[in-house]
Amino acid sequence: MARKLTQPNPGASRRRWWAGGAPAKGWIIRAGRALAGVFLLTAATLPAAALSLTTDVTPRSIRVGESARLEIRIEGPSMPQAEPPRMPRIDGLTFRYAGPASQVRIINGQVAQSLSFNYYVTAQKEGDYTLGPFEVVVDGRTLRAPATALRVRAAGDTNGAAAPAGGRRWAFLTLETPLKEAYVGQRVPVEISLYIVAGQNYAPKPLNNPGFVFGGMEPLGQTQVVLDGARYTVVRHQQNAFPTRTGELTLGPAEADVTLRIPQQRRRRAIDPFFDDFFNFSPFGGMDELRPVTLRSDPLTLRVKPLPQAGRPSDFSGAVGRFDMDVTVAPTNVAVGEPIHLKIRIEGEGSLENVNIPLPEEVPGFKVYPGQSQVEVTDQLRMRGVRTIERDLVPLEVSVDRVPGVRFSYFDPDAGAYRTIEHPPTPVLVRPAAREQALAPVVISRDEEGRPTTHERELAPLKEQLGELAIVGPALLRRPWFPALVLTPLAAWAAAWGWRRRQDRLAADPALARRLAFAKARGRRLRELRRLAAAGDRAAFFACAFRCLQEHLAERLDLPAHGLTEAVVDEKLAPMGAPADLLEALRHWFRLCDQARYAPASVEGNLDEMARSLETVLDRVRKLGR
Amino acid sequence: MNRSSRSVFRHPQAGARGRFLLVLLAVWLGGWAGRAVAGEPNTPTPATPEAVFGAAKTLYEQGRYAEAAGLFEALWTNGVASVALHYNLGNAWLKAGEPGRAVYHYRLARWLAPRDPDVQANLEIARTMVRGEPPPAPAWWRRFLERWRLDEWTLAATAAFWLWVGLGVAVLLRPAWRERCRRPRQVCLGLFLALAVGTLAAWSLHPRPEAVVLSRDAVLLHGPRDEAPEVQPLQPGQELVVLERRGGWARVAGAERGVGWVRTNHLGLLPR
Repeated sequence: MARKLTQPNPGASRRRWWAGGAPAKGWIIRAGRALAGVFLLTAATLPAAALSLTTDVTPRSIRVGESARLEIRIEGPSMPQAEPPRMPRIDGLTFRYAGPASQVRIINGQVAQSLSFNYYVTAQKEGDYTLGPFEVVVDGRTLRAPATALRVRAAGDTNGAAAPAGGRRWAFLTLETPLKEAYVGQRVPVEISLYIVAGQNYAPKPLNNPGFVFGGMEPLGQTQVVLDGARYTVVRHQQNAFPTRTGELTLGPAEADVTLRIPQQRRRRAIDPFFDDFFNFSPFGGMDELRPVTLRSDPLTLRVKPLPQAGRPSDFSGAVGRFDMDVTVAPTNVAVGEPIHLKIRIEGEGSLENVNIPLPEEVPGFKVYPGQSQVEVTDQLRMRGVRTIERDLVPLEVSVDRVPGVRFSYFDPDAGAYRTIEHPPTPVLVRPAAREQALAPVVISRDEEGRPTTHERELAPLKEQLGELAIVGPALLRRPWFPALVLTPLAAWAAAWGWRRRQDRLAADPALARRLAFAKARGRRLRELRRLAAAGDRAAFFACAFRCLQEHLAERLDLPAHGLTEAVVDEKLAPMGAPADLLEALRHWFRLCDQARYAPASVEGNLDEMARSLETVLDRVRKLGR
Repeated sequence: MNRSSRSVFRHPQAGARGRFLLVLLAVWLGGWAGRAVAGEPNTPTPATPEAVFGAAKTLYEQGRYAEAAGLFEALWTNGVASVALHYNLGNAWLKAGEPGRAVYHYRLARWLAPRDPDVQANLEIARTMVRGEPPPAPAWWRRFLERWRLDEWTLAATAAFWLWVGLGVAVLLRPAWRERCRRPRQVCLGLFLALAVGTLAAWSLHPRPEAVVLSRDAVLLHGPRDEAPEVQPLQPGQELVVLERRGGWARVAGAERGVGWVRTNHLGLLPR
């Protein structure tokens, strides 16, 4: 190449230097090389010269426990390629990378593109901190972003712009109960409320204190309140606690995990971040800090009293609450051995699982069969509901006249007293068992007051005669042959339909009818011919032979059989191309028949042989033209 | 069912062997019944089913219901069946204090003669004794359908069908009769369709086999084993629906406490 350049090509020189007409010189080439080197050097250093790195922290002053946003920005004419810088270890501060952001700006026709790396800086100690400088690798080269300052004040210092105004908290948890004291087994409703400015992933933990049995936790809904000028979203849950022992019992503290959404200070708007909507997107979008925390409420103290001994019913089984009872007994008119269904339905508010009715396993005069016992909850807190207890009582003797009454006692904590609901015995009518009551009056109704009325109904008398004997067995529909029986007429109908079609076809086609009639008659006629030959009845034989000739020719010529004579042999058969010997044979047979009719004595010969001969001729006629 | 059907014997389990046994039984029973009624020793004399029937009736009229029922039952177990026999068996068992067997035989009598008023009345009395109260009156359409036996519905529908098809055959054989047969054919077709609907409805009244509890030892169990837990004791005369049969057990529905298993020898299965 160098050699080519030093040996000028006249043509090329003319093309390059045609304006001046001067030939190319070596110094020009060297000057060009120098200019190109300068250009390349300038181009290589231009990006570094055009890039600008800035560091910013907002806000510049925060309280302990709060966060600021640190932004390292690289700006240039084209989008820089860079890796996020590594944060230094600074005692009292923690850094958390929040992600990159890119931006393109066009100002007065100048394009500027920037790449930012964002970090959350959370303060743990008060003091003045210097953040940076930070080393950033941009397009393969290490550049340095300048340092910036961050002031961290004590947590009680409320002057920070990003701190909640007036020393209020971002979120807190409360535990409340309307009762200061309760009885053992009494339901104690406990309400757990979360007050939060903004956050997500709220998960309250169920209470679990010794000395209590807790029910399930149910949400009560969500409201908003303004406390000390700040708007809180309040999320309430309720849990029922049932004290199981007496004394001063501690309830709580309640705990909950929640992720706080802490808004960062805005650049262009000075709006109190407390007034951002709960769970709404911040104007900073994903730049809000999400800080998971565990909240803890203050505990409560509950004084638990024992159930009073005074006035305690003997059948009290520990039910505490307020209840109603309904008892049904049915049927009330049974025979010995038939079950009577006893259903006890207790509805109310309290721990239904503890509701128990001391039904005896043995009731005099009855055999008791255990039945179902179930609880049906009718409210979300699982406090109101129905407990149903069922028994089947089978009377064993007719002397039984009532089903025993049912008593249910419970303690009413509101009144501080025991209550007893009593269902009186239910009168029943027990009839003798079937064997004993065979001749007894039949009870068929009751009067208006429910007393049984008796009617003796006499049986209809015996039948005097055995009567027609019958078959006791499966119904006809279940017998396998019955479908065939039903469908038999269909076969008859199908046969009739086929016959009708055939008749219609024959009526429409006389030639076919003749062919079919001939086919049917031919065999019969030939048998008669043989019989007459055997009998030696010459007159009848030749008469039959003549009819055979006529019928065979008529079938072949599609003409009526009667009236066919020897003339038809020459007039019809010869034009059809029948063999001459056949024509001659036919003429012979016509003449023979005429001769036998008019001069019987002149015809001689063996009739059997003549019959066989005629059959041969007729067979040839039948095959004629096929 | 005509008199000519007598020679074709009748009980589901009976065949030629049954007929032979019946003759032997009739001979023996005739002598036994004669002695029993007359109260004097006698040698066995040949007897027909009618004679045995009459002897059993006499025992009944003497108030010896269990013996009368036994004699009637002997006829039944040897293949004799008639409305009168099952009806009288129902009466005898009811008077003898066996309402379960009474209900069973009244049901058989009603199966054979659904329009017999005596059978209807006594069946209602037996059911009342079993239940302790009159049974609820069935709906009108059910009463209407049960006025005929299922076989009667079936035969009537079959006859209408045959007539309709026969008229069609006649029209095919004699086309000149087409106009003359048009209206009768329409009537037959309509009749056939109506009777076919009635047949299907009557069939659907009892979609599953039914049974009557005969024994007072019958117990409804949770499974087809004697060791299975007890559901409830069954009352003689209870009418149940048989859902399934397995060996000597039947899974039945219709008891107060639901579905369970019971030994089939405690049940009287009804024809269907």
